[in-house]
Amino acid sequence: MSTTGDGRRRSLAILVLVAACLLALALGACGGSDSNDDSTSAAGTTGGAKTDYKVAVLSVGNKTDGSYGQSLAEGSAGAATKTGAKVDFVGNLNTPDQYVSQGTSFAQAGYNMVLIGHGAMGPVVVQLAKKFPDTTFCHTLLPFGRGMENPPRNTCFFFARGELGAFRAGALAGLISRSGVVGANQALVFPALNAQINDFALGVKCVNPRADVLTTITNNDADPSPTKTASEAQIAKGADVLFGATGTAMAGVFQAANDHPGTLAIGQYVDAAPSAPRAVVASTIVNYQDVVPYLVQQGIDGRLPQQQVLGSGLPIRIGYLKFNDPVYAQVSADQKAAYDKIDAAVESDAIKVPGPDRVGNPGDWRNVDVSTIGCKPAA
Amino acid sequence: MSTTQLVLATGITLMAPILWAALGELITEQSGTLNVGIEGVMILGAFTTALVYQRSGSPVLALLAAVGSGLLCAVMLGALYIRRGTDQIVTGIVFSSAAVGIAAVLSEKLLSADSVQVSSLPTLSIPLLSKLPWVGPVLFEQNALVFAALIAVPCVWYLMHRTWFGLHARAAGERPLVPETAGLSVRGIRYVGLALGCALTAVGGATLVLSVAGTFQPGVTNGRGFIALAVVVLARWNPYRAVLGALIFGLAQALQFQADSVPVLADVPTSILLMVPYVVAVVVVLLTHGSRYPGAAGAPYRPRAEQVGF
Repeated sequence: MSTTGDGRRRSLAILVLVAACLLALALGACGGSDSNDDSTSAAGTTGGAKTDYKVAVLSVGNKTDGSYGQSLAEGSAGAATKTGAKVDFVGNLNTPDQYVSQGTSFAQAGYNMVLIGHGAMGPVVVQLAKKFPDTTFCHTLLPFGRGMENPPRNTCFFFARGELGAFRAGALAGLISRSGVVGANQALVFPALNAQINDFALGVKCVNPRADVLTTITNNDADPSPTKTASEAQIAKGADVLFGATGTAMAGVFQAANDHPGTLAIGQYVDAAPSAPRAVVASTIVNYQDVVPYLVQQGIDGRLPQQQVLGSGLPIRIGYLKFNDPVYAQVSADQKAAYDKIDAAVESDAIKVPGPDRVGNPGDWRNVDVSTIGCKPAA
Repeated sequence: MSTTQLVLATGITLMAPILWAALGELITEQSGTLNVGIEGVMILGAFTTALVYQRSGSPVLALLAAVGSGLLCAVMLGALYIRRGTDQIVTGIVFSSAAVGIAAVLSEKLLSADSVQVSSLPTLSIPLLSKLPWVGPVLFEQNALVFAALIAVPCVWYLMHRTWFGLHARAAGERPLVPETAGLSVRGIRYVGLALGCALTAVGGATLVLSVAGTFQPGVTNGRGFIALAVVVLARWNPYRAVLGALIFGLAQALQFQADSVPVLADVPTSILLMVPYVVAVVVVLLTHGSRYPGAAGAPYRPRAEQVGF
């Protein structure tokens, strides 16, 4: 047996392995970007009129992650149906180079809008917008940080006020908690997510000033194990209602609630009831399911603002609670009535839920007196 | 349960997946193969468990399927490591990367978002022992896979130190020429070692899904396979010491979220506590400086007959 032959076979084996790896990584990273499964348009539907408008939605999660990615994927499908546009959803993108690569591909293919769903990709949006002036690049956060002061005109930055839902979730948790202790888990530290946890705590305090709010930062939005461990630690300290802003790791919160009967959980981004039917009492819907169609329609109509904050007073609801009826049925009528009052006050802006500009750092909720934002706990 | 008890009980639960993987890697390395692809084997085991559990609702079937996925990984890795003699470190890293990607794609295609949730295995209480004051609830109220991991420890030790297979495997890992001279197939022994190792590692993935996380997400292993590699070195290829190593990592993870209940740690910033397992890993590497791998571990072996051109 010749050494050269062995060497060639070994090289071939390594080459095949590397190729297989790259293929798998590409599939994993692209989330099937070239798959027709993720590309939807209104052709054949009774929704919006047919249009040549083409949109790509790029996301950190994927269409079955039970969280942020899934809500954007559902929004993409909804946008295709409602507006008639061709909408591609690409999930599982994590790094700037992946967004640059995907954004470049879609822009070169003549897409009108590329929407990037990852909080840290503002600079990528600006970079791509400078390179492709005929495509509008949107980002799910308002611009912040160095180099973002004067973004190109073909950018659109929007912020759907997820903290409205978190505040409502806090109010519900404060009302239904029997122990007076509630837990909140946070995956990563950045202003929008910090605000959600802070506003959850403020929601609790709004209805029950004596309640204890336990907050934990897990620093992981992919692995449910730390989230479950953190939730169990909160349960051990008496928490009987759990909330999480933990991305795809949210399953850990549900699992902890499932394993400890009597503990309730509040999901995030999508209706979590099917995941934990006995533990989930409600889910906070930021509502990318309606936000994406709303933005695409603005794009089609040529009235897409460069910056907009999506909150109360819009044709679509932002940051509301979707209840899991079988569990919510166990909530008393008085508690439901109290919640409805809070819900209405948030919607009408009678309660001014502070945003990331005021409660954008971990623990900022401790510096806010709930009476100053319109809460009347005694009522 | 006091905070200390809770940290210990949680630490033992978190120890189990790492321990399974470490036991598997220990067998594999002692028989002469350095399986750096352990993270990939683990995540494919976890994915298979979630998939089969979701379709069948049976944790036993899910566990068996995980073992099957481990054996399948062993066949693939064996063909590369043992048959082809590829570089085991490069192949292992590439395999792990590919497995993570494959698991992500397959989970999106095959696991529906509404039902990825898996019921945790019920907690078992060992009669009498679980009633012991203080230690009872900590040590003797765990789920079946945690107890099984602890039972597997003496079994693995017995296998490697008191059976013919163990003797042959260790010989194949230290001086492969010795078993070959005795008429044994070194490659065959290494295949068996790799198969056993991958099966146990995949059970570690299953434990992660069924016992720890209660669900599958593409990031669910979160580097635990690589931690298991460190545990094997820390344990110096001794299964009993592997328990201690895995427990250190389990406790480090458990402590992160309980620290604010421990007076001396209450004011330590969360970001510092989150570093603990990784600091532990660095300390482990420092402490184990000078550990000697099995003599022939990681080196592909070509039978003498092939070397002389027969």
